[in-house]
Amino acid sequence: MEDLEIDTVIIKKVLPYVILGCVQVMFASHAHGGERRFTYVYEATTSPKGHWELEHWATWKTAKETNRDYDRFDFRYEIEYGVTDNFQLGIYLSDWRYEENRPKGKNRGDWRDFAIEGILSLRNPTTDPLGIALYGEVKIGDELFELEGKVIVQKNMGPFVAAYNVTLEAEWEGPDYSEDNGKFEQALGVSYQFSPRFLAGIELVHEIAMPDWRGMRGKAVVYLGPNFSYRAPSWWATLTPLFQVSDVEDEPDFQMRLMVGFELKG
Amino acid sequence: MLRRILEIYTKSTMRNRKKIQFVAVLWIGLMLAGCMSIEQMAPPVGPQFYNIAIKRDTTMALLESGREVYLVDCSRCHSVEPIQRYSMNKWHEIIPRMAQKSKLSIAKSAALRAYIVAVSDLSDIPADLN
Repeated sequence: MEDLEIDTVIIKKVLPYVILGCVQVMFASHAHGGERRFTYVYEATTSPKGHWELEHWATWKTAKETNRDYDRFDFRYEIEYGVTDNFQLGIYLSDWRYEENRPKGKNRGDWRDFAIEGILSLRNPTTDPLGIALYGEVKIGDELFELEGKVIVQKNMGPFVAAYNVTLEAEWEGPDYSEDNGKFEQALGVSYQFSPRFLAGIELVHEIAMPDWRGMRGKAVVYLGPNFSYRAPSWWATLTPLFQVSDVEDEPDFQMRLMVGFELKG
Repeated sequence: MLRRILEIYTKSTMRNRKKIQFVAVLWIGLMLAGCMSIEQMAPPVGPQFYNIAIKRDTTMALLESGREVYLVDCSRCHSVEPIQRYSMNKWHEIIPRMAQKSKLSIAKSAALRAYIVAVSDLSDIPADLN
């Protein structure tokens, strides 16, 4: 019964995403995009030099064991630019969050931060034994400062692509940025290109929160799920629903991310 | 992480285990079926291209450059496909569209076209597969 309730809630919550995606597509004129196969896993290739792209992200997290009414939506808007053929810069213009069931007196939606990221591609995943890239991001918000670094590894084997990321995040927040936390994450994605338009695969995410940097004592939460990517001449979209396969009660049982991208004529 | 996944599998019902096994076998099968080497998908520029280069009034260096474009620039956005998958008429549609999308320079576009034409000569790809 509980699973059926979750399915019903998921359908009700997914419909606005689908409508939002369709509206974005309708207004995607004069564009064709650079595609991403995964939503939680980064790839080791970068945009070509001079390429501009706009990406919309929406992430929904829901249903904790400790709070079945938990619903949180995070939205990001990113502009990416290929500075060189091997270096890409991204600016997250605005990250904001909507959370239902917040305590009375608190706004449900709020602006979170803006961020800048850079990806440097060192090795090509097709021609070299392994594709390698380095990722760095700086995030600044209201009483929030975050640094994130990733090592991205990828291998292309015909229609198959496998990518692996290892991430370390350092976060300072609160008054005087006194709350000092860390997070370790690894993520794996495998995708198969069924046709020039349609790809599908799986993604796996493993996170360990480190409050006050107390080593790996934080709970390890693991998510696993399929991913689907569609490429049209003027846009692309990738969707990943993830299910928690670990037993961490105060982490969401389900999360889903939709990314939609458009090339901007530069 | 792997231990956790193995734990989930061993604690699953027989019905769920069969589902997991089916998906795993399907993925492995697709992976093996999809595993063409780069050399098969985009043949290296070797002695077999020499006569074609003369016939097409091009150079081995340009063909090598074209192969590099095909493997590096094209694979940024999508998987590399065997050149023999498409007819030459289809390639004449694909190349300009993809060159614009990936912002290839005129020189790179020309090298790419020369390489694909050379591979089509080598592989005897017809103008139209239909």
